[in-house]
Amino acid sequence: MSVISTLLAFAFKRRRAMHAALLLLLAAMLLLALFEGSYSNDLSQVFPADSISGSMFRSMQDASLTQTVQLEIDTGAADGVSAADKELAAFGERLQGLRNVRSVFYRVPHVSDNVMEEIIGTLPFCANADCLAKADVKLAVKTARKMLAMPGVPLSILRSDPFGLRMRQLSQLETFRRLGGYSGGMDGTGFIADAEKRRVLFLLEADFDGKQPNAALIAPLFMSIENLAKETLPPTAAVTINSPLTHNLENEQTVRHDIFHVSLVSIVALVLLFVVFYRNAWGALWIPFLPLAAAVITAGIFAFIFNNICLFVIGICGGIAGLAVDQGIHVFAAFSGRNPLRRLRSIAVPLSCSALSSAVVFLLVCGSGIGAYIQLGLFAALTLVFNLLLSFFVLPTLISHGRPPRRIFSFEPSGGKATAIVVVWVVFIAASLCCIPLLKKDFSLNALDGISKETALAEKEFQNRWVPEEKAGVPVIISSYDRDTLLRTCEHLPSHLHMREEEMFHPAMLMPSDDRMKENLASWRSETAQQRLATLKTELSKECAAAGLPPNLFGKFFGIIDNSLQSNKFEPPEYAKAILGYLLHDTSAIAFIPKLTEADVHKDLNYILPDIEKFSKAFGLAILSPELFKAATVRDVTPRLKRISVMLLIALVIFLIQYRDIRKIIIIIIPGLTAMLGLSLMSALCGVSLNLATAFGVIMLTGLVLDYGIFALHRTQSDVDAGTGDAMVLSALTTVVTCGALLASKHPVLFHTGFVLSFGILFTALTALFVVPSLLRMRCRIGKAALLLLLAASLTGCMSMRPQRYAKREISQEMSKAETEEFKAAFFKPRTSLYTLETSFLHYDFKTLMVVKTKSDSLQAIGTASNGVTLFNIVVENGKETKRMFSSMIPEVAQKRLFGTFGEDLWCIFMDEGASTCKYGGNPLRLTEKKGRNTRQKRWQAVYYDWRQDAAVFGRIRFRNFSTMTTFTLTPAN
Amino acid sequence: MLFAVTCFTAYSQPADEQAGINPAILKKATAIEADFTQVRHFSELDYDMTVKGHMSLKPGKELVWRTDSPMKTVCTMTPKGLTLWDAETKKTNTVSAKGNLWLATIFGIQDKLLAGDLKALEKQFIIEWKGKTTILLFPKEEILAGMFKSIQITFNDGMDAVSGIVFTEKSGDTIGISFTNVRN
Repeated sequence: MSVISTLLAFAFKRRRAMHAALLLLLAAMLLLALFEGSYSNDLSQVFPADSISGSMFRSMQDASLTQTVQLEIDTGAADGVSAADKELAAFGERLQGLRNVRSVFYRVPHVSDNVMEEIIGTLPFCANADCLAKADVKLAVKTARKMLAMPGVPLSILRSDPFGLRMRQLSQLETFRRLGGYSGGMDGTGFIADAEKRRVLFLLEADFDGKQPNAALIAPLFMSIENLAKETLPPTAAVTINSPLTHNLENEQTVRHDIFHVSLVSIVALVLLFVVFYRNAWGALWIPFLPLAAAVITAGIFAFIFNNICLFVIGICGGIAGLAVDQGIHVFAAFSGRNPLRRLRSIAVPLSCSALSSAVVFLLVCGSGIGAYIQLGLFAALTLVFNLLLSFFVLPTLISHGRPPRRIFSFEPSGGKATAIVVVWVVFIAASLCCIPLLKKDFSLNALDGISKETALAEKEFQNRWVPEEKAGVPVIISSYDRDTLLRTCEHLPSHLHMREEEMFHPAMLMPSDDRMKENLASWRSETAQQRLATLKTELSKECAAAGLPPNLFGKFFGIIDNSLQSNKFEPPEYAKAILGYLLHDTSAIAFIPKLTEADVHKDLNYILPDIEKFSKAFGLAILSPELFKAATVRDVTPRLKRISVMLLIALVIFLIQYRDIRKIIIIIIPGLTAMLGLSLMSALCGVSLNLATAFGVIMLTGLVLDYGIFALHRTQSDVDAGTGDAMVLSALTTVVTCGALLASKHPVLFHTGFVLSFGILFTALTALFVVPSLLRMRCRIGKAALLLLLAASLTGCMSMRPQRYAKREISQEMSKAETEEFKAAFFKPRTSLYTLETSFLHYDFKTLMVVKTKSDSLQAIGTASNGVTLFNIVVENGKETKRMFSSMIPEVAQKRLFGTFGEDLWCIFMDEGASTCKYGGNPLRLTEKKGRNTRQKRWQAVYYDWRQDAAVFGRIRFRNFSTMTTFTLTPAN
Repeated sequence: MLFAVTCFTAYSQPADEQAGINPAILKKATAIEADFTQVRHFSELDYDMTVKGHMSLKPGKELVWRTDSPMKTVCTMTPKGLTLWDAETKKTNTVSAKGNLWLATIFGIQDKLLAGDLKALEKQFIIEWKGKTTILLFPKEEILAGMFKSIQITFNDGMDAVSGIVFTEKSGDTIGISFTNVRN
């Protein structure tokens, strides 16, 4: 304390010098932030660098897919496209001249009259000569005779391809048409028109000179498009713009609109605070300036450290810095009464503890490993620390000692009052606990998208008109540094994605890579292929003559092949050029695969994409499936959130240990814990889902709520009245009012952050101001018991796993029984299966391979390490372990602790008995969840995901033993 | 554009083969009946190939096209698809019109051409009169334009029946069909 007194005395003594130095520092940091800092709105920084979702997002960016615009012109009448032909053409031409438009695709290129012959001409480049092996001369002549027997059927197509070799390319094009969802008619109008020829599509690629598109760039582009449409198109025509840029625009506009209103509310609140509470004390005006100064200093440091600073991080941190006014409020309250320096010294410890604990929490956010969040955590932590220093040492030197602020809070609970408050609090906690299982989760990025309902609906309708969801496939974006690498990657897509080539379409089917092309040409020029061609030619002539057909009927085919072999340069046909122009760019390509099933999403996420990520540095790959992206985001973010939460708990424990007394620790954590539980109640009542914004909001809240606990403790201990109660009320009021204003915002990120912070701080403040004194009044015993109960209940409640959800089905009892029996016969049948077993205990995970052999009354499991060494061999008969062998590679403590009941656990998972409840769902019915008896020693839960009917296995089984606190995740390894 | 390319898939698609179906369907066809001579001229090879036979059409429902020389076959086209019976192999090939734009188009125009339904043809072709009894049809739709340059229909003097049709392919090959013994 003497150090603080010395420093405070020094600050007062050298106040002028200190103010001057501070001003100089601020000016320097401001200049540094303004002129040295590089800021961007690059959303890719929101994703972890080594994550699947991040890689997918960056691939989309590389492919400029985030800057494409689809313009739909509705002429208002069927066949209206033909009528408006000239106007549409003029619109297209002028569109190309607009600023920030790189290219426009709207004219369907004319297909050459000889397209069928051109396809044959591509064969030596696009296909291996092996295809000649199946050429059947007799079948070719037979087909020709059949076609001759038909009325007016042209034969030229058959003449140029007697063996149906074109079929492969045509099938590929058919696959492209199907997977690309091109259900509209492209023929007849010259435009990309729908089947009714009522609507046409213009595909634009925007270019903002390498800048990240923001509202200032996007809005004028959209405006100029709409104006051009008004000038050029008939008055009946309606324009619909569908683009990812709309999301950028609306998100930015919504955020600006919301921030303006929130700022307005905040200013009004602060003015009221100044007038009502501080009684026009001018010194109080310094309170909001200090966090601003702290933020400027941090921004200057950031400009020096980071090459690229996220703009939205600065925005969010501005808000966090706003919350740091609490420190100023506490200092002002302490410094305004009698014995100001003594009062100020008395709050030094709680103030430092609260600021530093918040800073530590924000620093923990850096543990997410996500670029934007590292900046966020660091920025907030530094700002809080600088604000603490400024508030404690500089603010007192700026304010003159005047009238003390108005007293607004005084609460000394009587016995009856205290009991009533504690009862209400316990009921509140119980209700909140009951709401935890009702919480909804939505970790998709859509949950953070601030577009309006109207835009979302318009996008859905647009999608249904042009790419019917049920038919279309999924685009796959491949990005790389040159075209040839792209094409080579496309050729390897089937093996990368574990699919048959026939199921997908990729640009290399129309234009192979250089290597593949050379290989194909060499195969056609080989002696064997040349001999085969010569034989086919002779045999065809003979067969034709015998059938009464011209002997040289199929001469055209051989002529085309010869011409191609003589030319070394591959010139794709016009149709191929048109498709390639759309699908193949300098550094990106688009392929199509069939729509993903639930099992596909699981397979891609767990095996395919991680493999690609691991082994390829030469290309990026993004499968544009919303389901996959959502699952990838959850998969990427969940372990990071888990890591942060564990680190947070450890930090809290370390931080709280210093208080040594369990009573003090309970007082500090009660407000925060109540807030967290209260949030689950509010979320369930308001239908608010747990998403990325709420998750990070809760982490921020953890940093803020500790302050209230620390000051609540300070109030109970300190013999100096430093106005802490008033300061807590004011801090809470400013935070609740400011964050509460966010509840009116339309943007989901702001709304959810506001929801968490306003309700969280409200519950924290109410608990710190009323519940803590009431519990203390009751001599803590009941409080301790209540808290321990609360901790136990919340811990066990949070540990349950959520089973896979399926749509409810109305089926008869007989059908339900039949489906259940069918499932049981398939899943519980005796067999031997290979699984990957992932064992998790707290934050420690490890994987092994495990063979499980099940019979009607026994089960054997043998686990091996990746090098083949047997790790365990367990036999269970009728639910009891009869053999148990563990390798010395598994420590004894793990054998006893993690695998103590492993045999019984496996029995619960694989055998059709031993569970107190079994739940079935899906179509047809399959097992979704099994639970053990609900006692502490016997409590377990098994959750079954992604049933694969064909193989009669689950894609994933998770088993949790609540007694050993161990979780086993089993995935089929073959 | 893509349709124009993909619609031709049918040419190379293997047809379902069903052995032993007897084509007795010809007896039922009564609306328009005629004998025909179909001459295919391969311009590149300067070679003509003649097919003779008998046809029967129920407009909008069914076209039965029987060839007697040089091969014996019966081709039945309906809006649902095509059936081809080959006397040599005694086998029937079927191709469904479902999802097969080419087949649907071919049946559609043959039906209208043979029935001389000018009103219906006007939707798909630009029609030019060549003399009093002959018209030239130029395809409007890309799928037809991909197959034929033009189609010429000649009516008899009474203008109550089609006496001949000449299809000119993009390659320059022609298919000339002349009808005799026309019975409406």
